[in-house]
Amino acid sequence: MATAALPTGDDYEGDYDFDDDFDDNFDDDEEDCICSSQTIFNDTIDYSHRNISKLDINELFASTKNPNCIKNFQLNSNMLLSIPSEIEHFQSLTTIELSNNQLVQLPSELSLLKNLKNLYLKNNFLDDLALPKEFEQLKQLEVINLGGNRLKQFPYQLFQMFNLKEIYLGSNQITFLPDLFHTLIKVEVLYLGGNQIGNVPDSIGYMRSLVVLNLSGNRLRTLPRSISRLTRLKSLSLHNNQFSALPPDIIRLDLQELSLRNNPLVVRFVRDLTYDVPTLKELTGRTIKFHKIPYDDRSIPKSLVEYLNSAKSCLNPKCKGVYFESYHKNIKFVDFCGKFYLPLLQFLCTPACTSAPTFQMTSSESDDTENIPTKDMTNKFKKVLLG
Amino acid sequence: MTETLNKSNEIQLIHKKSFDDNNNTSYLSIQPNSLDELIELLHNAFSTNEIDIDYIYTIMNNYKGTINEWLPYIKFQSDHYTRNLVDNGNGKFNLMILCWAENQGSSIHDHTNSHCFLKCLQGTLIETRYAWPTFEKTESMHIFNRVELTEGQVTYINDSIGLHRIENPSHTEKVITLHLYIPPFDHCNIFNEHTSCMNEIKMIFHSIREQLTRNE
Repeated sequence: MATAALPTGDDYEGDYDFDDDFDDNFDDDEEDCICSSQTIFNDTIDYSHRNISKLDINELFASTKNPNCIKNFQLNSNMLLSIPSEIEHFQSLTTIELSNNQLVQLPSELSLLKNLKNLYLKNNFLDDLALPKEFEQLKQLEVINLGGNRLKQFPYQLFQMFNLKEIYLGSNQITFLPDLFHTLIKVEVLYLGGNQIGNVPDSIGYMRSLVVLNLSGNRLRTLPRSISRLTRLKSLSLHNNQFSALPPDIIRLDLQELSLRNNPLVVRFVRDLTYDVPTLKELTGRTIKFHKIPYDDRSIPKSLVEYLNSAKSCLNPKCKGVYFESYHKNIKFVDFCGKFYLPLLQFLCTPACTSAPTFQMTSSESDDTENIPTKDMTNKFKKVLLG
Repeated sequence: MTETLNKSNEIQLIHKKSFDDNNNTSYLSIQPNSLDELIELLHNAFSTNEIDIDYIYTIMNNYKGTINEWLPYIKFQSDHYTRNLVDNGNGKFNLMILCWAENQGSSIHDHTNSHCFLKCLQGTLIETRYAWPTFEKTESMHIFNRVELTEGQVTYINDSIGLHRIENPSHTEKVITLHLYIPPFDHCNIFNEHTSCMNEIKMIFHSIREQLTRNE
């Protein structure tokens, strides 16, 4: 298993509280810092695991000669309900660890910490209103962990944080994802597991740096086609959802890990869904596109120009047809590495558009897996955790 | 390819309970206080070829460790759980630490005629037990047990009991487990929950005695 490419490496620090000082290298910049000889290599204040419910700001200031020495606040695993706004005076802070507290609100002064890179807020009581609007000014933030809170929405401030690399939102109550992911072009890890998300928006395809995408434990039935644009995606977690089939675009990804357990995956050919007869508009549109009849907004109304431009290509490689709203869903089984057959959902322009019968009556005696069409797919997946 | 435990000079696991001459249950209070101590007790236990399964269960259960001693074996990966070998038991057993990042889980698998003791060191995990498929037709697998394992608890399984899947159910917490396999094995079968389809896979270590392995 190649591990080098994935962002979370083996030097995992995360949740472990080290009471000792971080052994940072002494920075030349720190010569400006009037620190006592005892704290000169100590740029960390560690108040973790102390059962404190309130942070005494005077005590904080007293613990260091110069607040600008401090790069790291370990305040996790206490009973903090809030943090003082005076935290803005610790301008060198790059990491604030506030996980496992009882925070219901955060001061907007946090947004004044221009060096803040890592903000850990896991397991608190933060709801959608708890994050100040000013947070969107944290343009240098790279890692934010909001897992285990009470968010019902994807925090819109995150879309303004253009340097974000890792976003953790596991175990909240998010039901909806806005179609605004095109700004998050540096994000490498997006953890959305354990929410109530029913749909993934198209703009997810713009997250070109994405390496790890966790959508497990949601209410997903399908993925947008744009998922195939995530060329750096290596790990996709889809387990514990409502997938009955997968978009075939998944084949185009260069995944190393794909988890699919606990989905109601189709394992046999099924009687097909009803095919809605296309409208006259649709049929006309198809003909125009197929015969490449030229059109522009001088010959036809603009709305029709837009309609014609929205044509989607039939997935049958031998078919040059297109469709608009009326399509035929086909389940095609694809073989991965000779081990598993995964059902992929194809959108085709007509039921006639498949190279094999689209459906068979299922019977308990026959082993349908023998009639699986084709292996035009290659072994792109190194490991499929189907279980 | 599969080994049985009945070959000569193979390890025999037996239940001793309280039927032996000495009615000796003093081992129940043995408290390994460090990983090294546990390893030493295991090596001693394996100096004969007759292993007392209750004894092994007890020392695994009573072992209380600290995160500091597991640190060299704690290596999380964002896309799959890792197996980190602690001690290779001179070929008689394998002791390893597994690291499960948020919501990671295993396939349904068997244990290649081996005995598996699993202790939860940190966090909570879910063990789901499945019956062996009949292989007569394509059907989904039957769950006969599902338990939550909290910190310190030990579970035991072997092929005659059934198959299982291990999962970290949390989306915010990581889980660390300690596994003891008697004898060691490097391949097993995994099963598709929907179809009962079985496939053999080779298992690999992410690290062996603290050194990362080079895989693929």
